[in-house]
Formats: sequence, structure tokens, C-alpha cells
Amino acid sequence: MSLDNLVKLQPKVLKILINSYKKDRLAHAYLFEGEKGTNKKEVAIEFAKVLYCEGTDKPCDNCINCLRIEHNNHPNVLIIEPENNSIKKEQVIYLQKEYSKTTLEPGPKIYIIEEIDKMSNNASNSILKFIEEPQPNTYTILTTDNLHQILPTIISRCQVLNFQPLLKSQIVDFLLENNIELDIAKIVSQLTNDLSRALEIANGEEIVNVVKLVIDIMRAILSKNENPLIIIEDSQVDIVNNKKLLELFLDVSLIYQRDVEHVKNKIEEIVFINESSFIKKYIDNIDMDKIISNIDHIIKAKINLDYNAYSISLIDTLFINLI
Amino acid sequence: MKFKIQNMIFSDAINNVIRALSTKTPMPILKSIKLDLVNEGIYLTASDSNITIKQFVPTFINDKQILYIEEIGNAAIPGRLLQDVLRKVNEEFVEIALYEDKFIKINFKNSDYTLNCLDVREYPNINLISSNSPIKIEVNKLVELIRQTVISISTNESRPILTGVNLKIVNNTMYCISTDSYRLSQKVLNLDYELPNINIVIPGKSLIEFEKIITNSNGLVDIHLTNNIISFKLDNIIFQSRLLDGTYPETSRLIPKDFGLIQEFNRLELIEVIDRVSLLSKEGASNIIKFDIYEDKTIISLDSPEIGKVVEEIVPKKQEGSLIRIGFNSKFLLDALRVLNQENILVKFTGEVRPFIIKTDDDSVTQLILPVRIE
Repeated sequence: MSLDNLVKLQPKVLKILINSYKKDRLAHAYLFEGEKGTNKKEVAIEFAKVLYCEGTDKPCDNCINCLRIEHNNHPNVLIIEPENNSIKKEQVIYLQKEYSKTTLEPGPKIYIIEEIDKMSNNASNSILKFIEEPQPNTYTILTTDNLHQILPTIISRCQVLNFQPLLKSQIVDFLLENNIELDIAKIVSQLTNDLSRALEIANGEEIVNVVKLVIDIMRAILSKNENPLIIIEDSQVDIVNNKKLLELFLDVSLIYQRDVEHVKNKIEEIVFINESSFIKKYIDNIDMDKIISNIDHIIKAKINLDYNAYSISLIDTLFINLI
Repeated sequence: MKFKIQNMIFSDAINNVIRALSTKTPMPILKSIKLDLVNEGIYLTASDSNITIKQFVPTFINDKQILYIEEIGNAAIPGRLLQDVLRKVNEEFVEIALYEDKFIKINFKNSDYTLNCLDVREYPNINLISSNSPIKIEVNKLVELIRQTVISISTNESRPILTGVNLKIVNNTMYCISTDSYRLSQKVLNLDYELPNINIVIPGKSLIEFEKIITNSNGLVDIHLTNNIISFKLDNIIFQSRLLDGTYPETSRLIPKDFGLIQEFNRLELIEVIDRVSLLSKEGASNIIKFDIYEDKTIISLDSPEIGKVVEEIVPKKQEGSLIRIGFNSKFLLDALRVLNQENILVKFTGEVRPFIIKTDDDSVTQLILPVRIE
């Protein structure tokens, strides 16, 4: 993503960084903190490009240094990201060795460590040593979407920059620009904060079917006309065997339940815009306690799914509780 | 880029540089070998960013043309794949050409490979420096220097600077020092030509790797130094390493000058004795042996409560000074003795809990070992 786009999305952070760069007052360690999809990595990479770009309008995205950083081929710019959800011991050792050596090409050393919260405390402590005693011309950028899991000793040694999550309306507008229908765009905007991920979901085949399934099932539960389990049996969408689909199904169901709660509490703003009249019609069938317990059950199902629960029993339990 | 080259010579060159190719690297481009085709021949470069090996293959070897150049240029080719392809094919010549900056064609008589390759411009810009005043040293001397110093480098990454060998040039004298803080090796060479003063730390692993490459060669090695890179040049091969960043601890005062006891041993005899005694040392555990030194003999013993006990007597060739009892890690002594070359060695003690050194007729090398307290 180009710097101009990032400035639009993260004006505050970029203003701080650009000003420090212009005044030659960059900190030796930054901690980029913010939700998923707030472009922390992209900003970190642009940061490295600006320091190395050979063009006049930095970063030019055209010179060999910009290209190498983009392709992770620059010897002085090291990007560490978690493998299988954690930063491994070998990666930390590799990082330590890199910190202790001179650079291959002249220029600053830049280390970008993503999701620093996925690093064990032991590993963080060994990194701490290098952040504590900064060497000249070395920059470290840590990113996280979970500030609370980071050692306070690490936080205190970095300049913390807060990345603002995107407004939901920004995501909806972006999706509309990309020819996505309004109802789908609204739902997808609730699922992720990441623009490219949002577009990917919205363009995927599954979302339309899953949304239709959720509507059918939730209508059945609300109006008490049909058994939801039979709807699942008859549906084309295989949420029983496909974990990704099941996850998406639960997320969308949660949004629907929240809409029901909004209608009950007479809050105007709802996501399933086309469902508004149907929900209103049957809203007296269900009381507030039941709505809250439904939301609870869906959240529980999501947690169990993370723990690799058996999907058939997970679905059965969920619907027995919802009906 | 397009050329034809004798397969055997090309394969040899690939095998040389491929030692530096990294198997696991976050940088995709480093899985490639870089080829630079110029009018005089071809340069091959491989690197894992820590070490880089570059080799030059000239057009003519012994007046025989082995390389036919059609179009000069450069390319980055997947290294392991290229090696495998060349290894499997049994033909005298191989033809290699770059197409559309994206594909490498490797042609033999009957087979024809097209490999995807990365943009060569993204290859690290590795400046293989050639300063005007290199250190010139014979291969066998350099091999000896490396062997005698790398034994004492630290393997513990918690103090990265100690995993290297400190190279200092002060007033045309070169000092090479390594220590893991329990032992120390020092080699001092007088250079008979003017050189600027320098103080750098070379990663021990890079030196060990380089020693393997040159160990069967002879001739003169040129060593070029800067503040962040060292490069060695031997014939057509250049070996380069990044350095360790930081200040090496000051060691000059650690080596004692006055000794209370000096013993002279036959080196090989002492190695055999220590080797036998250390049989009872446990793998991984500290293997402390004791020297009980008497007027007429020295008793070397090792007592391992879980395994047993061993006692051996040795009579030094010469002995002078006050008698002591001292204990230390047998591995340190063995390592030190094995890298020395002379027939006889001197062990010079200062006291029971003070460091002692091992010297030979070759005054340039000093091995120092710290003893441990024994009851």
C-alpha cells in the first residue's frame, strides 16, 4: 500500500513518524499497537523504505532498495513474523546473531518483529537487551494487536504508537466502491478491520450462501416454524465438515443476534438491513434474557471451535440451546 | 547473458561457492547463486549474508578455452537446483542463457531446463573490497593461526562478542585473541610491512568455514580489512565475512609473566595420558582433572563419583620450581595441546588458583587455562 493511502488511514501515526524523520529525531525502538488490519506492518515497511529509498520522492517504490524491501530481499532489513502462531526459539537466536553483527551493505539496520505478543517471556527478555542498549543507526519496530500481553519492560523502552481502527463506514464505502452489494458490505464490515481481507471475504463464494443460511436459520428460530437442524441438513453450505465455513457462520450469526437485540431495545442501527421488518414482526416471541443467552451460546461455540471441538456435536449443542 | 562452459570446471566452482549458500533464510534471493559474466570470464557468488564466497573462472585455463561467451550480463540462479542439474548430467559442455530477465535456460545435448529465477538486481550489493595494503600470509600459516585461536571462542550466544576472534594490528604487530572467559588463545605475528592499526572481531564460525576451504591449498592469502567486513583472497576465490559489532574485552593483562613452576613434556605423550584419563569424564559435565606435582613425577587423576577413578603417572622431561596441586578442565588442555605443532611443550604455572599457560619453542602462540578450586 502506498504511503499516501496509509496517511489517509493512519493520519496520526504517520504524522508523528514523518515529523520525527524530517527533524532527524527517530526513536531507536517503536511499538506499533492496534487491532488487526490497521496496517501496522505496512507502515513499518514504508518506514524502512523511506530510510533506504534512493529516489527523490521517498519512498518511490521503484528504486532497487524499495523493491528489495518489498520482496524481503534487503540484507539490512530483517522481518520476523510468527510461524504457526508463535515466534520460535530459532528465530530469536537468529535475531540475536543479526543484532550482534555488522551490516552487509552500508546503512542502518532495521528490524521489524511482528506480533511480539506471540513471543515467550524468555525470548522477549533476550530481545530486551538489544532494545535497552541501542546501537547507533539501528531501528527496531515491534507490532502487536494485544498490548496487554507484552512485558511492561519492553513497552517502557519503546515509543508506543496507537493505530486507530478503521471506521465501519469506511470499510462499507470501500466495499461499495468495489461493486459489493450494500447488505453484504455491511455484514463483512463487521467481520474484519482489514480492507484487503474484507474485499477477499466479500468477493468469496461462501459469504452469500452463509448469509442466506444464517437468515433462514435465525428466521426459523425467531418464528419457531421450522427446525434449524433440518435447514442445515438441507443446505448446500457444508458447515459441518468445513471449519472455516462454520467459523464464518458463527460470526455472521452473532451479528444477526445483535441486530435482534438492537430491535428489542429499539436501537435504529442494524446490520441486516433487509431483515429489519421480519425481526420486528416476531420480536415479541423472544425476551431480552433469551437474546442475551443466545449471544452467549454463540460465543461459547466460537471458543469451542478454537479448541477444535467436534463440529457435529458443537452444532447440535448450539441449536438445542438456541431453540 | 549467454555462455557455454565446461561442465566439470563449472561444477567445481559451484561446489566451492555453494558452501556459503544458506538453506534457511528469510531472504528468498539468497537461495540463488549470482553469475556475473564479463569479457574475461565468469564470477560466481553465493552468500548467506554472514559469509560470502565468490569465485572467478577465466575463459582460458592452461591455454585451453573452457568458456565461450556469447553475451555478457548477470543473473541469479536457484543454487541447489543448478548444482543438482549439473551433477546428474554427464556431458562435457553446458549452455546457460537468461531469457526475459525471468528464466534461465540450461541446455545440454538432449535435455533442456527452463528455471524461474529472481531479479538479479535484488541480490545484496556485496562489495568485495580490495584495499591497497592487504595482509599477506601463507596458507599453512593462516590455517595454523585459525586452528590455534578458534578453540577458545565461546559457544554461548549470551555474550556474542566472545564468539569471535579479536584481530588487532598495533604498530605492525598482529594479535589474534580468543577467549570464552575460562581459557584464552593468543597468536602474535610480526608483520614486516607497514599497516594501519585496526581492532576488529571476526565471527569464529566464519573462520572455521574458511579454514575448511583453504586447508588443502597453498600459496599466499590476501586479507583485506575494513571496520565492518573482512575478506580473504586466495587465487580466484574470495571469502568474505561480516564482523561482530562491539568492543572486545581487554586481555593483555590476563597473561601472567612470572611463573613459580615450569614443566616440560613431550607433547604427544602428554596428549595420550590426558586422553586416557579423560575417558572417565562424563559427556557434558565438567571434566576436572588434577595434577599432583612432586619432585620426581606428576600424578594425573580424575575422580568421577558416579563412574569411578583413574590415576596415571607421568615424568616430565624437565621441571623447575615449587610443587603445587592444581585442577582444571581436561578438554581445555587437550584442545590446546592438539593445535600446537612442536615436539615439546612447556606448562608454566603461577599458583594453584591462578591461570597457567602452555608455550612451545614457537613463541608466537600462547594458550592460557584457568584452573578450578579443588578441595
